[in-house]
Amino acid sequence: VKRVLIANRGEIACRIIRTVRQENLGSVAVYHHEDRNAPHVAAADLAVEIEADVPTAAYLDQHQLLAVARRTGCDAIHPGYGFLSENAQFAERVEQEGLTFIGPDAAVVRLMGDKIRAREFAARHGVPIAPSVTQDAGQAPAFDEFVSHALRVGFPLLIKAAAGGGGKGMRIVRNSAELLESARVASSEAQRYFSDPRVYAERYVERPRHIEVQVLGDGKGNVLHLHERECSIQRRYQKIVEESPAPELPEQTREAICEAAVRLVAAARYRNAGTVEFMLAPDGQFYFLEMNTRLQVEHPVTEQVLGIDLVREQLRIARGEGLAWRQQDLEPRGHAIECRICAEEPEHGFRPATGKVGVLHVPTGEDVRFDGGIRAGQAVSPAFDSMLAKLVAWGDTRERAAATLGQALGDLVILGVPTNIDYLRRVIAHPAFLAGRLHTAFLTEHATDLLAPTPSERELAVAAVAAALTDPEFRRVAFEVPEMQAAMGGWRN
Amino acid sequence: MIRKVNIGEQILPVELVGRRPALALRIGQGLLTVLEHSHVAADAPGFDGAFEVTVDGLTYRGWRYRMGREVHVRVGGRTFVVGLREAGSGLGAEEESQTELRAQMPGVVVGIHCQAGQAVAKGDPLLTVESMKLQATLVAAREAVIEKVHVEAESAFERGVVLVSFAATAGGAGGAVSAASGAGVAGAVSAATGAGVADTVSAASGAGVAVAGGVR
Repeated sequence: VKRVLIANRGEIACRIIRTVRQENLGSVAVYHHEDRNAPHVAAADLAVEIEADVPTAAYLDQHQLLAVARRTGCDAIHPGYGFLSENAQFAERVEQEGLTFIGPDAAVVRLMGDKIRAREFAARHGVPIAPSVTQDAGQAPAFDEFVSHALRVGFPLLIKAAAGGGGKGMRIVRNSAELLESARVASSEAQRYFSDPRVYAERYVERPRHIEVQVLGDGKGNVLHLHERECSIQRRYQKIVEESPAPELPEQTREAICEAAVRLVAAARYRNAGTVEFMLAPDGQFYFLEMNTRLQVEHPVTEQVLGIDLVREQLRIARGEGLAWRQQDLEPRGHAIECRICAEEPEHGFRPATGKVGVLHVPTGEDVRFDGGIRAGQAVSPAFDSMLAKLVAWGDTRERAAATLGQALGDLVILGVPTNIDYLRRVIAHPAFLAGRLHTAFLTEHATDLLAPTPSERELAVAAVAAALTDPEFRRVAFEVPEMQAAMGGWRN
Repeated sequence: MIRKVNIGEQILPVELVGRRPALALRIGQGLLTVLEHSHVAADAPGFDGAFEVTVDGLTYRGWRYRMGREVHVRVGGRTFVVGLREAGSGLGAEEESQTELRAQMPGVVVGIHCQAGQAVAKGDPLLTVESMKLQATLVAAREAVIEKVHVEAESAFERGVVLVSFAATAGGAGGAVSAASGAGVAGAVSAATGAGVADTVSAASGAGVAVAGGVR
């Protein structure tokens, strides 16, 4: 591998380019016109425009990406996360072109991308899965069968799409009256989003924790786990705060979860960095959710506690150099917490916001890491995901990591587009968060506590004054010297 | 000179009552002594948004960015969105009766359930839209007649654009409902906002409201 095409954008493209350059490899970025001023374009050695009417479609256009790779002499493609990162067909085509796909074998991508097959695979290798019922075809008769099986599993049930991810197509069903209709709706939504109508239902666990295990595999059955991450703080099924290690996790559970992940990944002869996701029920039982066959958004918390660069490990594995570590060398040091900085309005149901990054000021500090994909002056359009950046803090204890992160969030300035910065700061300062009492309904359960506090009169006055003083008319009246006095120059006191 | 600003619902008149040696500003009942230490206009070279003001002897360092009539001010680790109002205007000037359904967030039109000239009753579906992976059906918040549907199926829209406009109804000359009452004629929001003004949401998005906090 000499030159890497980064088939992505935003913060993850910048993040990958950083390591690619450190490894003395060439980097080629791609961008849609709307991203022409984005930081990832400037960060790479070379940037090539790719075209599409809809900006996201450009980053999904396999044909153009491969053409750019050929034209620029790239011998490897890093897909990042999202976009084509879990597209088996793309992985296949990259390899057919004689290029290295920095990811797993297409067959493994396909296996893990089909949530029904992945669950069966996990169960076959002794990894616990929640009681469930699967559906193989979307026809009406199959629905009847699906429903009768689902009734036996019992309520509440969670219906998910076989090809799903990111919370799309998920439904919670609490009684039999809703079951058939919910299954139909979930199936049609799954068809719409993923062109695959198959759904499955599993026993829904109330207030579970989301625990996942970072793994590295060499493709020959050798696997390392890089310990767990806790990602229970979610809104709309999407994580917004992640950390490693998971707080308040019994050592026995921690070991069992990591061991299960390794077993699964070794059985799949997995090659690349990957993540095995579990849900941990309040009773201590854990269940396989899915495996993500790519770099994860929240990978930095693992990097910060282990002192490892996961992109470098991906490159090493892709070059066939195998695993550079022994399991016993991988002991986490301290604690790291990450917040996802999104352009959104938490006070309005987290609706995505658009605007322009008018002012950007990034906090610095030894224990603070900012993975960003924005620059001052950049427009935030609805075309892309609302995540702008990630802010990560490390501490020798969880408490100190949280305190440092709180400080850093206070110092982070993004003005011109609404963000969740202040909301995140309240989340990580919440007593239940600090006590490690985490579960996936945390934000709903503590919604009232997490509302913005009423500002003091003094705070309002300072903000009002600062704002009024940006008004040219107000400034003229306040500061302009009348002509006669101006003529007198410095005479006035 | 009075410059009215608002922070959320709260209207704050900032009155300039003295210029020297420091600015004397009256905000509500309080009279403040204000010194500004530097200023760079947002469109001037060297602008980085930083400001420093001393208010009654306490110095505040923060950041600000002005976009038209809205100023984002970050001070004390907290961001305030401050509206600069037209000179002398109160909230009343902006209270117009609303005869439109506007997009509360950017998205894509998935389905259109009404057409121009059609009379709709409260709760009737108008559009199904998708924003941020969630589908929601926008419904009429009251009886009305559709004047025009401004979007096409599968088309994308930006936040704030008019999606559907309403003609005056028999029951209300000049039509519709005041903006102050909340949602206006079309009262639905997407499931994602969960803001409580939605009369109904589609089955597709309903789950999103009811079951925050699943697993993925």
